[in-house]
Amino acid sequence: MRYKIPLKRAGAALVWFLISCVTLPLAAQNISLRARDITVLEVMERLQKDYGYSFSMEAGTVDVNRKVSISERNVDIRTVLDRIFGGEDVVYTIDGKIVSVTVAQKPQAREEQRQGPAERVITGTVSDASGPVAGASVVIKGTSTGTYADLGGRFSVKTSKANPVLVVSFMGLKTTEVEVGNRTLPLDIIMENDENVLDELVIVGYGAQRKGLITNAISQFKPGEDNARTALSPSELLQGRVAGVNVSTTSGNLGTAEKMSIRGSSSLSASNEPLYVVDGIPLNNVTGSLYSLGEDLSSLSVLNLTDIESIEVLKDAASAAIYGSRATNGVVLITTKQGREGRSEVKVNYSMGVNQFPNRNRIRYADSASWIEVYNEGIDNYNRQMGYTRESQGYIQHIRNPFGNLPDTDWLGVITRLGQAHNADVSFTGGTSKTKVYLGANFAYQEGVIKTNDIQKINLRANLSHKVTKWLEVGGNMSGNYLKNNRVPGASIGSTIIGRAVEQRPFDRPFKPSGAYFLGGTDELSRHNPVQILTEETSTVTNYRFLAALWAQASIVDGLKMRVSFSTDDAYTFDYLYYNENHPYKEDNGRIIEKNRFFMSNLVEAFLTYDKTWGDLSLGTMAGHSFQKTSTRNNSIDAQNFPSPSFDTVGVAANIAGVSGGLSEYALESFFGRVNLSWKDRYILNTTIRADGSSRFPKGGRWGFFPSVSLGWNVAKEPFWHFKAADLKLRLSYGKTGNQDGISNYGYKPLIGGGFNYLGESGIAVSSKGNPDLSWEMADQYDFGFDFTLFKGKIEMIFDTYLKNTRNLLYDMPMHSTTGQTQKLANIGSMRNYGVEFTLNTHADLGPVHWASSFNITHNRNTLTSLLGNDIVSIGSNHALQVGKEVGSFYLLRFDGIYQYDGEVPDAEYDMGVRAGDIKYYDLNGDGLINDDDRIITGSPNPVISGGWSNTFSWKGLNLNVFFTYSQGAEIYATWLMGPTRMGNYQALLQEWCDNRWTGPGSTDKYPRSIYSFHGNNNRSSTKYLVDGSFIKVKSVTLSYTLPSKWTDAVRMRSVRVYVQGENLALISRYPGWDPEMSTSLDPQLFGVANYGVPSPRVYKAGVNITF
Amino acid sequence: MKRIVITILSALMAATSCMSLLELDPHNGVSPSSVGTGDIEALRNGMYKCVQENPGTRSYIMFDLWGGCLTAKQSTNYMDLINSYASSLNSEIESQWQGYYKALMQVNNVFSIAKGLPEGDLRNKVLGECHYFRAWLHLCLVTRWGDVPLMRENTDEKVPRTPAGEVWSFIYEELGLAVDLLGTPESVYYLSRDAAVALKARVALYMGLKDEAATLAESLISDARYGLDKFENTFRGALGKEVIFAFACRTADNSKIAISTLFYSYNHPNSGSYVYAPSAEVMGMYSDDDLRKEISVTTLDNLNFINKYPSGQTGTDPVVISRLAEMYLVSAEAQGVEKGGARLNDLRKARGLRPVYPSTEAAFIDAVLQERHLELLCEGHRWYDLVRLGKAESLLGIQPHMTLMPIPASEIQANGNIKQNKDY
Repeated sequence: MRYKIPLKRAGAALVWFLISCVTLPLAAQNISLRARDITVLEVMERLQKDYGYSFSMEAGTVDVNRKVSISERNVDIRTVLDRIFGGEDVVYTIDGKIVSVTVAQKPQAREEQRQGPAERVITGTVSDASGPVAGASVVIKGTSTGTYADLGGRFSVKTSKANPVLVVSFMGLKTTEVEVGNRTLPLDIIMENDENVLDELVIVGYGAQRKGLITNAISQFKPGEDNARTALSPSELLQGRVAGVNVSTTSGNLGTAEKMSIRGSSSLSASNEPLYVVDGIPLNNVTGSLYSLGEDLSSLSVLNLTDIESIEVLKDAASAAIYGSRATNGVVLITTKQGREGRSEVKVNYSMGVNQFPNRNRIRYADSASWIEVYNEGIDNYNRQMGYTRESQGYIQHIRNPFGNLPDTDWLGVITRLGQAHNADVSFTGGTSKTKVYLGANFAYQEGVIKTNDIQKINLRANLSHKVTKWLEVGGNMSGNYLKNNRVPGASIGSTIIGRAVEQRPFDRPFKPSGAYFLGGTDELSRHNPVQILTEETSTVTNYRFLAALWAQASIVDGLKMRVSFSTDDAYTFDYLYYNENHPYKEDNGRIIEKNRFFMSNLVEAFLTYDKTWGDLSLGTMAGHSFQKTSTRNNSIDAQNFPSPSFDTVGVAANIAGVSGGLSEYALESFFGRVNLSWKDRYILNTTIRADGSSRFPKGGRWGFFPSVSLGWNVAKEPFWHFKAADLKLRLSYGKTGNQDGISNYGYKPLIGGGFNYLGESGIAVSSKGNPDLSWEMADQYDFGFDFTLFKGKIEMIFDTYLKNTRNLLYDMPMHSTTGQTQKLANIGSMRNYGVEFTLNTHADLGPVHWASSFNITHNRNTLTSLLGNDIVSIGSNHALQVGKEVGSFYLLRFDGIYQYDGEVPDAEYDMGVRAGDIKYYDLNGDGLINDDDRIITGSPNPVISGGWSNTFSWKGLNLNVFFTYSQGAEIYATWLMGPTRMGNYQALLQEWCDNRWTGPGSTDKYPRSIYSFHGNNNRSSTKYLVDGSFIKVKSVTLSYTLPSKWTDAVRMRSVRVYVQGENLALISRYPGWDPEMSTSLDPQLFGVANYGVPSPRVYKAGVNITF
Repeated sequence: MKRIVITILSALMAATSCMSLLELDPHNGVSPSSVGTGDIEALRNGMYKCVQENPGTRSYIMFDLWGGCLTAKQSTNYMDLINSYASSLNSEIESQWQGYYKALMQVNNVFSIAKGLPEGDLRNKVLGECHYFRAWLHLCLVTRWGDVPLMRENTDEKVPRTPAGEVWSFIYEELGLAVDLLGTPESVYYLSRDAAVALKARVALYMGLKDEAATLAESLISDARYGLDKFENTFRGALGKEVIFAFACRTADNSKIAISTLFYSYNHPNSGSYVYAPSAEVMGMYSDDDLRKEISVTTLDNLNFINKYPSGQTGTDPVVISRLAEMYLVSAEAQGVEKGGARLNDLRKARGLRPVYPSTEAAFIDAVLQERHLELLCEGHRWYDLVRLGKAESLLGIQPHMTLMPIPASEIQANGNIKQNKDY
C-alpha cells in the first residue's frame, strides 16, 4: 500500500500540528487517559485537545454518545481506540495524527472476495472544492484493499471483486461511496465538506479554539500557492480577502506604508492600525523609514510571507479584548508554519516576473501645439484684462516652442521602466514524535516601475520544538529578516518623481545638447528635472528585524498547564539619503542625511490553562500575566560638503550641519484571563478580561480594564434541527477595548526640554506642557452574526453586523495660542462605526470543471458623535471634522460652473481679477466674496461598500484563479488634478481641458478659460477636483498546472506546480487617474487625497513550486 | 525534577510582575519643578532660541511679502501673494501668530524664574532681556494684528484682545525697563542697552513720540562704536560696525530660519528653491550709483533675485533686527523736513547717492519712505511703514481692511473671546 503524507489537503492537518506545537502540549506517542462514564465523543475531544489527534468519520458510524470508562497509562493510540470503539463494527486507519474511522466489512464479504472474478485495476482522481485531495484514502468496500491518492489526487487500486464499490474518505470531507460498475476509467470522484467532522482549530489570543466553539467575528486567511500575490507585507495579502478589512497604500512604489482599517476608523489619532501578533509576539508599530522622502515605508514588508501558515483577523471586540489597550483597531494574528511528525519535506518555490506602470493612457496630457496655443491665449486674455498694448510696460509676449519641431518628450517614459522581479524560497519541514522542525529561507529581488527603485529581501526562519519529558516541552520560533529598499521620492516632497516628470511642459527636455541637465525652476525647465533627481540621489532604507520567542510548557496536573515564554522584537533601521553635488538639494556641495534607529521590545509572559469536562458541560480557563518593555534609540546626522559624488560616507563631510539623538522607553504590564463554558457544544459562553497598565499614563489613571463576553448557539446541534444538509450557528458578543497608540511615551508629563541652543551654548525651554488627565481611548463594540451552511457546505454564509462606539477619543485639541501651545492631546469626543459584513463561499460543478468562489462585501458607516461643540473644525486644507458627519469628510468650495459674462462676477471678485470664463463658486454666506468661509462639508473618502471576489476553476491538474476587488462610493480629492488644469500656467495640461476650455459665452459651463497670472481663482480647492473613486479591479489572474505524478515521480519529485500570473490587469472606474486606491495621507482625518503617486504596478510573472 | 522545573517556571511567572517599572522618565527633558535659578544661563539661551525660531522664517520678511516687494515665482503680480495671505486660514499667518505667542510663553517663563535671582548683574541682564523680548514680540503682534491679547504673565485663561493703545504703552514701558537693566553688548547676537535703545527709538517713532525717537536714535548715531558700513560688511556674514542687534540663526544651533533658500534658484550658484522673486518695482528702484544695489538684488539668466541673504540652500544667515542706518532714518523722520534732511542725506551719501532737498514735510516723508524702502529691503519694514504713514492703500492698491492681518481662524475657534478683524 502506498503511503503518502497528505499534502494538498494539509491545511486542516497543519493547523493541528501547529496548535499542538504552539499552544497545546505536543502529541505524544504514548497516551495517558483516565475517565469514568465519559462519552466516546469526549474521549475523542480529549485525544484531540491533549494529543493533537483528529478524527474523520461519517456520522452514525459509531455511537459517540455511548458512555465508556477508561484508565490507561502510557499506551499507544491503538490501545485507546480499541478501548473506546470496542464492540463497534469499525476499522480505523491512523495516518500520522489523523484517525479515520469507517464501518468494518462483514465477514461474509471477505468470502465473496476470495471467490471473485479476475483482478482489475481501477484508476481515478479525487478532488474537492479546492482541488485534488492528496492523501484521500480509497478502499474497496468490504475489503482491506486500498490506497491513498497522490498529490494530484490520483489513485490506482487493484481488485478482483465483482461490482466493486470504492469508499473514499479524507479528514474534513464527507466519506463517499462510488459504485464502479461499468463507468469509464479513470473515475472522477468529487468529495464534499463534512460538517460532522470535528472542527478545525482557530487561533485566538493566547490559545486556540475549536471552530465550532468560536463565538466571535474572526476571519481566517491562509496564504497559499493558489491565492499568492506579489506582496511584501501581510496586510497587502489581506487586500480584498476578508470582509470588514480595508487596505490602502500611499503608492505603488515598493514597500510603501499601508493602512489597514478593520471595521472603519475608530480613532482620530493618526494610528488606526491593528495590533499585529506574530506567533504570540506583539509587533511594535513603527515606521519602516526614518526620513520622509515624500512617503513613508512599511515596517511589515520586511517579514517573509511564505512562512505564514494562517492569518486570523480578530474583528470584534470580544475576540480582540484579550489584547486590551491595543485592540480597538482590531488584532491580526499571524501564525507561521511549524514542523511536523512524519516524512520530511523540502519545498522550493521560484518565480520571476516583470512590473509595469499600468493604465498609462488614463491620463492624456496636451501636446506642444495645444499647450502653446492655450498658453498664448492665456497671455492674450491677460494683456486684454490688464489693458496692455504692445507698448505697455508689463505687456507679456507670446511664447514659441524653443525646440521648434523636435518631438515632444515622453516624460513618463523617461522615468519609468519594466522592472524585473525574482523570488526564491526554500523550506524544510520534518520531525519525530519528540522534535519538530520548520526551516525556511527566502530571497527576493524586485525592481519598481520607476527607475532606480528596487528592493532586496532575505528572510531566515527556524521554528523548533522538543518534548523533554512527557510533561515538559520547550521550543522556539526565530526569524531574521532583512530588507533593503532603494527608494524614489514619493508624492509629498518637492522632488516627487511622478509630479516632476508629468508636470513638465511637453516640449521641455531633460538634457541640453551638451549633455548637461536642464535645471528645474528656471525658464528652461519649469519643474525639477526628474532625471537629475533619480540619477544624482541615493536613498536606501535598510531594515533588519529579529523576532524570537522561546517557551516552555509544563503539564502540572491533569488539565492544568503552565506556559512561560520570553520573546523579543528587535529592529534596526538605517535610512541613508545622499544628494550629491549635482542634485538640486545638494545644499552645501552634497548632503548626506543618515538616520539610525534601534528598538528592542522584550516581553515576558506566563499563563496557566485549565480544562475540565463534567458530563455535557466543558470548561476552559486561562489566566496570565505579561510585562513588555520597549526602548527606542535614534540618532541622525546631516553631513554636507563632499569632495565629489564618489565620496558617499559622512566621515568625509567637511560640514556637519546637524546631529541629533534620543532615547525613549515604554512599558506595559498586563493581566489577562479567559473562561469558556459550553454545554453539549450547543450553548457556548466565552468571557475574557484584560487589565493593562501603561507607562504612558500618570499613576492615577494608569490601569485600564477591558472585559468581553460572547455567546454562541449552535442551532444545528439542537434536537429539533432536522435539516441534515444545513448548519447554523448564531453569535452575539460585546467587548471593551482601548487604544493608546496616539500617545507619545511621556505625553502626560510637563517637560523642560534640551536642545534649544544658541550660539553654541546649550539651552533649555518648556518643550511640553503635558496633560495629567490623559487617559485611555475606549471602545465598546457589539457584534451579532451567524454562520449558515447549506447543501452540505456547498454554500457557506457568514454574516456579521456590529456597532462600535469609541469614546475618550485621543484628539489634539486646538488650544488658544496665548497658552504657548497650539494643541494639547486630550480625551475628547466620541465616534461611532456601524457596519455589516457578509461572506459567501460556494462550490459548484460546471460540467467537469469545479468552480469555487469566495465573495465578501462590507459596509461601514462612520459618524463623529461628539467633539468640542458643533463647530466645523477644519483639518488640513481639504477636510473637516463636524459632529454628525463622517471623519474624513471633505471641506471644499462648491464648483458652480463658469461665469459666462463679466457682469455676473461679484464686485469684490472682479477686483481680484475674476472675469467671464473663470470658475464660479457657491457663495455660502452671500457676502459677495469667495473665501474659506464658503466651504461646505461634502463627500467621504471611505467606500459605502467594498470587498473582493475570488474564483477558482479547476479541471484535472489545471487551476485558474481570478480575483477581483471592488469599492463603491468613496470619493477622492485629486490634488494632482490642480496642476494640469491650470491653463495659462507653466505646467503640463490635460488635453481634455485644453480641448474644452471656455472661449466665449456659452462655450462651456465646465472648463474655465486660459488666463496668464490670474489663474488662482480657477485653481482653488473645490468640488471640481472631487472625483468618484469607485472601481472594480481584476486584481490577479493565476493559471497553474500541477504536473502528473508519473512525470514527477520519474524525476523523484513529489509535486511540481507551474503557474503564470498577472496582477492589476484591468481597472474599471470613472476615476480620471491611474489608480483610485492610493491616498497621499493615511491619516483617517486626511484620507482620500490623491497626489501624483505611483499606481500599483501591473505584474506578469511565472513560477514553479516543487516539493521533494 | 518536575517539581523543580515547575517551581522555576512559577518563579519566572512571579518575577514578571514588576509594576514599579511602569514609572519611566524621559531622557531629553526634565520636570519643570526641577528647574530653577541655577539653570538660568541655559534658560536664557533657550529664550533667545525660541524668540528667534518660533515665528518662523517668513516672519522676518512678512512685511516685504505683504508690502509688494516680492512676488511668488512665475507670477508678475505681487497682489496674488498678498491676497493669499489675506485669509484667516492662511497657514503662514497662523504660524506667525502662534509662533509669537509660543515665544512669549517661553519669555514669561524665564521672566518668572529670573525674578527669583539674587540682585546683581546677572538678574539685571536676564530681566532686561525678558523685557526687551516681551516688547519685541508684542511689537510684532500689534503691528500685524492691531488689538492683541497682552501677556504680562503666563496664563491658560482665554485672554481677549487688548486695545492696541494699551499694547503700545506696554511695549514702550518694557523697553524703558530694558534700557535701564541691560548693559554693554557681549556681542551683536546678544541683547544690550544699545539694542533696547534702538528698538525704543523705532517704537517711539511708530507711536508718534518724535522727540524721544530722535533723541534715542541720535544717542546711537553719536556713539563712536557704531557707524554706517558697507552693505558687503553687513550682509556677507561679517556684521560690521553698523549692526546693533541681530539674531544669530546659526545652522550649527539647528536654526531653521532659512530665508536665503526662498530667494535663489537652482541655477544660481547660491542655489535655493526660489519661492519669491523681487517685484518689478523693486528691480527698478535702485539707480546704478546706489552702492546697495548689487547686495540688494541681482539677476542671472533672466531671473531676478533678492541678494541680501547669501547662504543659499546651505543654511541660514543672521537676521538683523537693529542697525545704525535705521537710526539715521528714524532720526530723519522724527525731526522732520527742517532738521531731519541732514540725517537723510548723510545716509544717502554713504550709499553713493546725491542729496535730496524736499521742500514740504509730505515730500520729505515720501523721500524718507523711499529711502527706507531702498535701505531696509527684505528686513521686515515695508508694509508697516506704508500702513503707519497711511499709504498702503494708495501705493500698494490693497483694500482698506488689509492694513491689518486676519486673526487666524484656528485662534478664534479656540478662544471664543477673540473677534476677527473687520472685513475678514
